[in-house]
Amino acid sequence: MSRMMIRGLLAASVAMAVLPLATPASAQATRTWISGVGDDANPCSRTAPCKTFAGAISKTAAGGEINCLDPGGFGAVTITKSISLYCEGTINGVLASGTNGIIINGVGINVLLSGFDLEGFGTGLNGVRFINGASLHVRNSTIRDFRGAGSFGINFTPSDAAGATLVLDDVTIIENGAASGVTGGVLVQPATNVPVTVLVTNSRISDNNRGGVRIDASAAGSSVKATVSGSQITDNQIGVYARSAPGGGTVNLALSNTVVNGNASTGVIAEDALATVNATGNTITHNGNGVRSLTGGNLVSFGDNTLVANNNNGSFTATASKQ
Amino acid sequence: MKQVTSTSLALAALFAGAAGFATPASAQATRTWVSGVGDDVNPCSRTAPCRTFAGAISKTAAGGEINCLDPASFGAVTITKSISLICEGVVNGVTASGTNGININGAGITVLLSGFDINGLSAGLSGVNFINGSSLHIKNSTIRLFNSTTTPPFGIKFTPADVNGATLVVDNVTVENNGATSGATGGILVQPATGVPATVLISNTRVTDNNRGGVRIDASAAGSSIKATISDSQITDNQIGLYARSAAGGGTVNVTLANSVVSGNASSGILSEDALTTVTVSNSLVTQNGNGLRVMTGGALVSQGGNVVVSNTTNGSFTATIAKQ
Repeated sequence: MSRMMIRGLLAASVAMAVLPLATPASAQATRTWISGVGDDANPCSRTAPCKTFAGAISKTAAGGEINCLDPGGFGAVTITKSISLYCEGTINGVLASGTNGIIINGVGINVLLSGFDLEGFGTGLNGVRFINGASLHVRNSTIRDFRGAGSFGINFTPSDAAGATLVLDDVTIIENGAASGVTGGVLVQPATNVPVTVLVTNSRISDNNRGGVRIDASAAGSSVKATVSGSQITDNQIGVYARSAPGGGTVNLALSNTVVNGNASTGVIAEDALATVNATGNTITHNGNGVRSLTGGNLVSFGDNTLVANNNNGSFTATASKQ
Repeated sequence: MKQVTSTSLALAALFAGAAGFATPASAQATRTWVSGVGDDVNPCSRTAPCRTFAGAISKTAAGGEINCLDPASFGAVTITKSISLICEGVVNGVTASGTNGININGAGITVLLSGFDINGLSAGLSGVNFINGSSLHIKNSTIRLFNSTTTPPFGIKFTPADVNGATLVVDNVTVENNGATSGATGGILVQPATGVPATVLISNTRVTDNNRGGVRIDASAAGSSIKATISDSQITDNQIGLYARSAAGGGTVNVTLANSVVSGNASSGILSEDALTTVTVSNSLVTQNGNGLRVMTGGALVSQGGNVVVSNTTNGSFTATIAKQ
């Protein structure tokens, strides 16, 4: 072999050695990277990152993780497999004008979205649109300006009878919702026969048109068990709306240590005998109606809520004791 | 000396001077750095960082610190000396499929892990596995997907072995989607060995969606003991939320649960087992669980008031109440 060939082979083998993840074009890595100056033609490795979530996701193994290397606008994406999009410590912008930000649609998938700045630019449809999956965990994120028709910051409508879980942890959901109709900050509405559990903690749901948090189990056989804790739900039209309907399923919402303030129409509504709100340690103030029960909705107070200075305070339907 | 040799010597001296801490290959620094574009042959300095925790730890003095310069996956590591791994403000990924994420095993060592994203890729053993040491402090971290089917996995597995005792602090940590589908497994395990006292603080932490146990506190080993405080946390959607247990011949367990949410746990929210176990609950919300409150074989579940126990399939009840002061 000539010396040139030997050198060439040596160089090639060195090059191969320093490109750990970059083998066949269709290989998937458990961790991929995107960068504001990446390129979706890259293998999405730490040293050759991609540019968008949509470009990286096909190169990420199911159950894996996409991380953001540096600040960028990384684009809307549809997720059909278990994955974590984990971008703490940098600006992770998703601009979704006229469309959905993140769509989640896959049987039994688990998705974590951590560290997002989702911007709907006034015309976005939904910040996060969950159609099918086992669980969605959104945290340390901001979701704003999704105001298209029927829009929500988070639109969670699982369709699998095996059920689904939603966790919102340290999420700011503001300035979403169209001017009329069923729209607003957060929607949880399982399909027929689907059970759902929800945890909203340390979150702010404010200044949304129409609903702040809307929990709806009116589909037959559906159910929602929700806990909203340590949060602020302010300056929406209806702050917290727990509803069912005749023939629907049960809604049980525990509202704990939360501020429900300045909602133009009502702070907390329970609608239908199948809906129960257990309220403890909340401040419900400066709303149109403070609390309101429609068609037999249950509003249970544990004796430690501040319900004051609403245009019409309203009243709880029952009290229960702490232990 | 020949000219070539003196040139070589000059170059060598230049190199040695420019490389900061990097004189003999075995020198250790009190602060070392890892970077996504580092190299473990480097001295792990700020300007010549290493690539992995395992590569940096041998170059870090006991009691020192490893910091992350930029986002990357820095790999699993076994820690046998006092050290802090502090990586705030960047993505610090540790993946551990089929293995443990961080092992801690050294007599009397104190360890701080701050700013971690530990991912077991659905096959990990335990995210943080503490076998021996004096203290472990984990904060601002996420520990997920430790679901091994070979060894019962936990997000955090704290099983100290030194009769001098050990402390665990879990502060602002999310422990989720861990655990195998059967056996003793789940989010967090505290189980000291024979004769070992353990103290625990879990604060501002979310233990959610783990198979089987959320938080399992077990002093069934003879002469062991656990004093644990869980505060301002959410333990939700596990099978058993908080399980405090001892057994005949075991040690005492004393758990205080304050200002916390225990909801959606399929089997029980809070379970206290054995007469040596006391769980004291104040200002907490226990709702939407199978059993809200449950005791077995003489366990004590004491209310200090201010608790809401509602909308569980079976609420259960406290065994005693004590007054606040």
